Amino acid sequence: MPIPILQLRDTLIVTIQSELTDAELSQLRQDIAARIGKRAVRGLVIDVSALDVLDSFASRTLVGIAKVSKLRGAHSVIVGIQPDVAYAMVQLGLTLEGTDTALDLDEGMELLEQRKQARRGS
Amino acid sequence: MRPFTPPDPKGMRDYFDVYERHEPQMNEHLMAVCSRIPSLAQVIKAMPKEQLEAQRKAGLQTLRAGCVDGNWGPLLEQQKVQGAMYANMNIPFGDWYELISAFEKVMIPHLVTAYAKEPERLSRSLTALSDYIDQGMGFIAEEYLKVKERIINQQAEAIQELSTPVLQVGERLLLIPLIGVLDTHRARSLTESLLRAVRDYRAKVVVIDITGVAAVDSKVANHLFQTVSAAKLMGAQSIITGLSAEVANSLVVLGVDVNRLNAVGDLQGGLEEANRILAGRGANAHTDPPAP
Amino acid sequence: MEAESAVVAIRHESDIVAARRESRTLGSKLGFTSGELTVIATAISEIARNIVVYAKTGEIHLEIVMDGQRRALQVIAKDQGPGIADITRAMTDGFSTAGGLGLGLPGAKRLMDEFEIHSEPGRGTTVTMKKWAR
Repeated sequence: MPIPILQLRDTLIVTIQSELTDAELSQLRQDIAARIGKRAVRGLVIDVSALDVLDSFASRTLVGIAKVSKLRGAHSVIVGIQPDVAYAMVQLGLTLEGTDTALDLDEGMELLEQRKQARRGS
Repeated sequence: MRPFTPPDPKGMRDYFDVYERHEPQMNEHLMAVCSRIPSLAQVIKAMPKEQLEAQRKAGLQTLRAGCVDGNWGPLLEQQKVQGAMYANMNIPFGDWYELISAFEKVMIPHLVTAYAKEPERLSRSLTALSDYIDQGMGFIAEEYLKVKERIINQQAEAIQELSTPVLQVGERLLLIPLIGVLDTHRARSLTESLLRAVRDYRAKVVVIDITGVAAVDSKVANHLFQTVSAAKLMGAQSIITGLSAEVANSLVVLGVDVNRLNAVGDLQGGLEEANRILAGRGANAHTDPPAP
Repeated sequence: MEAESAVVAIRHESDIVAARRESRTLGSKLGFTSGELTVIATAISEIARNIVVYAKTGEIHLEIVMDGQRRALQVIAKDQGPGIADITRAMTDGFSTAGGLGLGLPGAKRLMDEFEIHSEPGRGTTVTMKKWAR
């Protein structure tokens, strides 16, 4: 079943409800890329608050989605990493490589807005 | 659970016969012993008569199940419950040990009187009683210790919680003043509390003051790095305060990248920097997103 | 007597989640904090994914083991896959033949208290890891 992608003005919001298989992730990546192209999408929020584990595969995938989105002109932020998950990731050595993270959807949207302003200003 | 070897059945049967015959007397004697031991006297006094009677009946039943029917399960369970009760009521080891010894002491003369003319029978019943008491005490003791350990661990956790408070000192600002030794277990527990607080208070900045930390070595530094990184994944920035110049130097000598710690000299300075960050004017303002 | 062990067959990606879930069930019997349970589940996720990616099938045995009064959750991941020729290299961060980051093995080792790996090319791989409860 495809993951719903919501659009709020120029931001896409994806909520990952459960562990995704490779196939589902590929599909998601494609869907996001397609949506970014369609309307002027400048931002992508990926909400992972439902995930109780973020392993190296999941983290690689999220970073991959962020990079691809960047190439197509949209800035990404990953939100909702749970306390236990954050700690396990750090002990495992995962950093999400420069991808923005925020506490929740609210913070994520605000961060995207700030990034947008920064780009306008420069 | 520890292994249990049922004592000699004939010996146990003979013992039980004598015990049953003298049970009311035995019970009175044990109550008298209890009343002389303050910790146990308190327990007896607090129990309503009906409860004491019910326990007495149940005790006799489980003993019969073991001695006569060879079904030791209920009795062993009862020993476990007894052990746990002693631990939960904080009854000293010596006290309940004394009670059980008193029981054995009184039973022996009764057995001698009953089987005086049958030395083999007497020997078997005495051996069986001794075996039963030994093993029974083992079960009580094991449970007693297990429960006591659990209580002690819970208390230690509680003390730790108290000594590592996470304080909300501003709308999106947390302050964690660390005091004492930061061993691995405490560091982990601290990080978990901090991260949970970041979520619960929606903190954007966390100030960790290590002025009171006893020994700051590379291990402690690593714990701090991990905490800072994990907080970052949750969208919170961290500031370490209270890192003295001497400690910073020694860490640098150990190869620790002190710059990664975003350390500010003292607590006041740290809080001021935190508020600047929250207002969008922090030291890293050129890399942070500007205020809307 | 409650179940103190479980075996999860690893054949598809979905089995990775099953193995993680089982570890939480068993782990909570040992009184691990939720943080520790997540750490264990993450280590299992890494190892289980290795099985799916490299060996295609395998199994994960979860068991509560004791050493005196101490108890641990033991995880044994076995597969009959191609095996690892150079374990030392595989245990270095960044090594991988499948083009990924390859954090699986060293990462799992960092997360757990004890970690052992036996592997022979053509004979499969067995990873044994433990986390001790306080």
